[in-house]
Amino acid sequence: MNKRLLDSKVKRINKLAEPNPSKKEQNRPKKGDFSDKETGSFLRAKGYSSLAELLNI
Amino acid sequence: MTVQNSFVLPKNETLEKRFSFVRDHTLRNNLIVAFKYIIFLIYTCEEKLTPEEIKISICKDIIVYTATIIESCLHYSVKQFIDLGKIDESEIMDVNWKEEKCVDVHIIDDKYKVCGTVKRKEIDKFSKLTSFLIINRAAKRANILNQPLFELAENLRIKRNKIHLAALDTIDISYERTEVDLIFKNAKEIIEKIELSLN
Repeated sequence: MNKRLLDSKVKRINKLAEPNPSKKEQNRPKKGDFSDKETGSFLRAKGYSSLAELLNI
Repeated sequence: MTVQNSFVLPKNETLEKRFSFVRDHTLRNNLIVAFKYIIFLIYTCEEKLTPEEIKISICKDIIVYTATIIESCLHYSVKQFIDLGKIDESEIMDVNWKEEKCVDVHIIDDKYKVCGTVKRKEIDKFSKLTSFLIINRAAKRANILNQPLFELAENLRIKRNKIHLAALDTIDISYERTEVDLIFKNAKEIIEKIELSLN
């Protein structure tokens, strides 16, 4: 197998190994993302509504 | 341990806007950093895998951090009042009599003597080293804080002081999440009053 063919196969395997998240997953904020709405909702849901109000989020 | 929840912070622009009444760029950004850290602590505290005894310490950490935010906002507002001439330092700071000279007048015996002392009246300076207690008193004298808000600020100061472990008489494990939200509520009231005073 020549080097060019081998590189091409390795590239294809690497591509297959990459995670393929659904559209819903893609839209969900990841760790370290920034969203006022998401943070505000989280704080309110966990009982820290005063902090959400303090920060206006 | 892995953090399972999605971990999301408010946008920088939102926090910048919220604390726009703090015109000191460095302080405003340090406040933003501190609030982001508090939110991170909340995420960690709400994480199922975090041990209960660690959650208690996280609650304490959140309270201490919140108190330092209030301390810095109050410090900023008092400093602004002084710098803008809204209030004179002599009206809000304590007065001390500083000893300048002491002269022996009469030696009674080898243990006692009578002295004459010259003392000069000195007004304490409001500086970066001014303590939380003095900041609270100055903020009250400057009418930035009314009596109920002064009491809330004092409560925060006392809780902040629990960072000094050697000064504690009991084992410090009495923190709950409900108390944390009450602290945020108090902090909100104080910050809104500071904002109003500066606008």
